[in-house]
Amino acid sequence: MKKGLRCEDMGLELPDGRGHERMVLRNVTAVFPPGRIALVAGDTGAGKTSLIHVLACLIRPTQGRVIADDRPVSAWTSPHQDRWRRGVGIAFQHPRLLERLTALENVMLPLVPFGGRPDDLRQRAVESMERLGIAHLRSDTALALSGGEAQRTALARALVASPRFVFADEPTSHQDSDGADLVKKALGACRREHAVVVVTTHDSRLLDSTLPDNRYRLVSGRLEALP
Amino acid sequence: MTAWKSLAAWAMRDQLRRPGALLLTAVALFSLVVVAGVPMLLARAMAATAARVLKAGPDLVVRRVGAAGWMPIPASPAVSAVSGVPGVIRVQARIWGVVRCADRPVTVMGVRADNGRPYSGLFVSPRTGEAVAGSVAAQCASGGTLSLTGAQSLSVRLAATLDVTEDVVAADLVLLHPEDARRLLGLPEGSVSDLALTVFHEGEAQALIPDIIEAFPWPASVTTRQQTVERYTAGFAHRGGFVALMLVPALLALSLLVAGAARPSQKWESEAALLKALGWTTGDIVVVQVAGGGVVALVATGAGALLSCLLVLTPGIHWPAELFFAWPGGTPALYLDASGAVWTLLQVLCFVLIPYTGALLWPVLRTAKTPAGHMAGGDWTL
Repeated sequence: MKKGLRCEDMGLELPDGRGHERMVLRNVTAVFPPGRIALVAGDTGAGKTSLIHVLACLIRPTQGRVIADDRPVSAWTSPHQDRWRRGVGIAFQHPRLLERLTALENVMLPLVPFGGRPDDLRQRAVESMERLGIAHLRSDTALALSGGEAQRTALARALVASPRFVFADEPTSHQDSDGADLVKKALGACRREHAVVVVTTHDSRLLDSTLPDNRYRLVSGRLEALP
Repeated sequence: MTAWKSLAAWAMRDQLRRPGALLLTAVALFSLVVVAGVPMLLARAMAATAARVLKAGPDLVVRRVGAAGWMPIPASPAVSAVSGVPGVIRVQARIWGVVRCADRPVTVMGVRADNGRPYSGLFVSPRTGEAVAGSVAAQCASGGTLSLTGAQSLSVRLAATLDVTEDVVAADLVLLHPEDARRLLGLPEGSVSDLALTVFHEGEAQALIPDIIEAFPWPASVTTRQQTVERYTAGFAHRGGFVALMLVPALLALSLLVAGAARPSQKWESEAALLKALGWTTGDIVVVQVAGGGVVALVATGAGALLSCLLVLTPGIHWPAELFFAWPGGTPALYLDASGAVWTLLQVLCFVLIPYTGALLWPVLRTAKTPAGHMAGGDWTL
């Protein structure tokens, strides 16, 4: 496979806070093709967030590798990974918005390094916010947003640059049913744009929906494909 | 708009979101440049000005020394003796000394039209009973009359004042007719205070000293122009040393500023980690740091440099003499030489900007190779 994302025999050990290493991911092997949405379910502490972070090259796997469009990105140096991440959109489990910025400015952040006229950047950010039903909050500071609004702002930020790889960690955990529908629509649009989409969740509204093309379950760090 | 312009615009907008911190940094950098720049600029300008003015003086000055110190020189035999030294082309017998005028000391000099000029701009020739005084010395005149007290007392009419642009060396000077000066200083008839020599090649002045000393039947001390300039310069440097004490708090402030900028906070690293996660490179963050902090620093230090120039190089300033030099008997107006000021200001700007820019870049470069998820505050997995 040339395009898409795959992980080969990937493992991750992290300190457990008591001076020992804990195996968070074990021998994870999977293929995430473009234009398809992969849903990774799992209990709390199963390693879903770690999986997202390794796939996005925020942390290095302790074994195996991550290959994006046939390039071993997990083995690259950090500066190269930083540049590769311009094609990546990440929505963290916690929104991680910059508090001193407005919602619109937070959404604009991934666009700034690309350059362009400020009005164009602003317009693209507004469009991304409109897709998630939060355009009316553009002037509010991040601190003024509710949990659900902040989460959708973070997803708008992840999608604003039309990334080739989208990673969303529990994107509906703070959403009501309308909000969850908007999130599903936005992720569905990524599929149409042929992005690789990996979503972790334990929300039944996503698990039971028709959104995912592939389903996985993470159990004790092992990724199992579901029918 | 190219990427770096976009990043720079973002950085400046971000700076404006924190006006308090922005103002504090700007004021600190501005003050640092002024506190460091004014003494450095002043010391350089004073030395350069003195060197320029003294350049028109004699190549060598001969004084007679004895057990009691300086002694009067018998003019005619001394002039004859030194005129025979090969290389000496002109000899000027000078009458001068320090006397009191009201409550302040002034330097009295006897000059005649054919005497040439003791300093660069003094084309004056006072008649008997008249005086031409520097700006500070002129302040002790009462009703247009200078009352001078030396070996004898003398009252003379203040006929004119000297050009204030030479105040740096002539502020306390009183020029008199030679006979008035001789009488005031108590010099015997036919005696002078020293001899000012002009030599054929200034570069040979040092080499002529043994021959000149040999020419007199009494012990003599010979000073070159270079030594006079050095004495002035050393005097300014000595005073400048006290002035440089002001640099101590400046250095302390700079250290604090640099330490504050260089010490990455958990919040800063967390934000940098987030930006990297969102596709920003280390280069992008460097541009933002430099554009944001750099523009503030350039504006603040530029303003500081400008104020330093205005404070030191504005024609006719009085404050340095009042504040730093405590010149006796009033404060001369200073018309200081601006040559070399740009180089001095560049040194000051480098002194402030290099450590500050380094401090801005240090946290970014330190974490350049750290994966975003492993940066402090960026380890979001646990």
